[in-house]
Amino acid sequence: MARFVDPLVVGRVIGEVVDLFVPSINMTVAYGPKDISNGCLLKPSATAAPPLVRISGRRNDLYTLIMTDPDAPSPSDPTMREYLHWIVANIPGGTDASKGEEVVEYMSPRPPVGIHRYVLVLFEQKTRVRAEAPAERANFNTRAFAAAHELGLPTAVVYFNAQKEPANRRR
Amino acid sequence: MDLKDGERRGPAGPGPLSRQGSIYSLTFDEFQSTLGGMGGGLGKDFGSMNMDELLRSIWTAEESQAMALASASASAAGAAGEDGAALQRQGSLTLPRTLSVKTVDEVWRDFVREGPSPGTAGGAEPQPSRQPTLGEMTLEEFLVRAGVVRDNPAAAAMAAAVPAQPVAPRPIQAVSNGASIFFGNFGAANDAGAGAMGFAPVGIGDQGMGNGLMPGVAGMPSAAVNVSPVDTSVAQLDSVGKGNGDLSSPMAPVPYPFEGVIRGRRSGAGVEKVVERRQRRMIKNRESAARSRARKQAYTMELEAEVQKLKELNAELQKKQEEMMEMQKNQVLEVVSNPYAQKKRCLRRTLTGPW
Repeated sequence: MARFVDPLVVGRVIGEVVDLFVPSINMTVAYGPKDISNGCLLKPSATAAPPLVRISGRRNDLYTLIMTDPDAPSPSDPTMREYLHWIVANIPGGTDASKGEEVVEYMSPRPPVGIHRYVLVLFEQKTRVRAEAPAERANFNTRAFAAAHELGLPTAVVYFNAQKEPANRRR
Repeated sequence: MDLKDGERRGPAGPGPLSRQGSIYSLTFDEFQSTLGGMGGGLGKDFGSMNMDELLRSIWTAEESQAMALASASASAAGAAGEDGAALQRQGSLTLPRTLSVKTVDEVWRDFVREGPSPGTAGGAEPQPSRQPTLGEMTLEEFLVRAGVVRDNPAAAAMAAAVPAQPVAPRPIQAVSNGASIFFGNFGAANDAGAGAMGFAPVGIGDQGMGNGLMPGVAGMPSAAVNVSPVDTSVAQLDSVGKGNGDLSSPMAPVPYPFEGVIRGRRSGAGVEKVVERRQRRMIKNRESAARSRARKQAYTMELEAEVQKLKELNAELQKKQEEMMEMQKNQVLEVVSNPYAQKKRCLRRTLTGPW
């Protein structure tokens, strides 16, 4: 069963990161024991370790997962849009991201200013790919990457928000 | 605030548009009705205004007219220039200082006493000898006869040469602008509201604080040559500069190609900078608020969808459970109602015993 797409439109994930698509794969993202839902707010400290990303789909199909931050370094002035956090390629359907090949190592969210969106996009691959890591994490473009690897439109998108945790001022 | 803003723009908008003329060609009565929305804010009619206040209200109205006329890209001065009136802002109005503190009524009484006199500045049409009331006089005539003259750029340059006295009143001006900008923004939630900010300072700042501000300016120790009143030039600089800034892209730093800026080079630039920074922050703040709303809405939608999904799932599971219960019950009933079935089976088994 596919997820709703509306929150992605309102949250401007569709538009700023990906184009309008019809979800065909169910993807759940869990940091620790808790599944995240679109638009929820997480503490950066809760996202230090890579999340467990489980996907539906058939065993023979392969999928690519990309995690980016379209609000870097600041949501009002996103000069680094998008900042790349993670790429995992060749994930077999019905498994989780740990069964794929990590192309770009996971980097935990560390938003310097403002509330950032962190978007996990899942693409279905046509064949097994040998994706090359981009030279830089900053100014990554999910659409361009998808076009370069013939990934087409996304099959699932999940996003969450994170904000810099206030420093411990009280002592 | 919201209401006032709308009012001010409301009546001023359609009037000039349909008339296609300048504010200066309106009579006092018409002008007053044009400002009808502002009337409540003014709290007084023109008779009791002093000349300074009158000029300011004219500029306010003119500016809103310019806003209505100008397309987003046109600068305020350009738009005003198209009106083709004799007294235009780009050749700024100056007010002899003795005049600026007089009320309109006083000036009018002077007129009547003098009888039909020729205009003091060029370009005035011949005055008809009978002018029964102030209300039927056009603004232009009134201003010309009152001795408000139009500066040409050379005079403006001369005024610029007169040094340093503007510095004193400026901070006051800046403060009043700041406050009113904030109000203007407050009332204007959408982007169109940014336009309102341009003339908000003149309207609100002056009505609210003008009384305190102007005597101070007038009483300033400016026993200077030329008596070109400082406060008008400052007010003009502020309003024009801002109107322009708002019309063009607010994010880009806009150089203000106005003589007013030249006139008040030093502190004028400071005011501009402060105002611009404030505006940029305001715009950022507005964007951020919009993002925050969208974020909240998106999350709410997600949760609602989730609730819906879970409800459906729950209903499905409950239905399934009921069916199962039903089936179990049926089985039990069958057993109860037909106890022989089991017995028979048992008997049959025993019947297949060895003997």
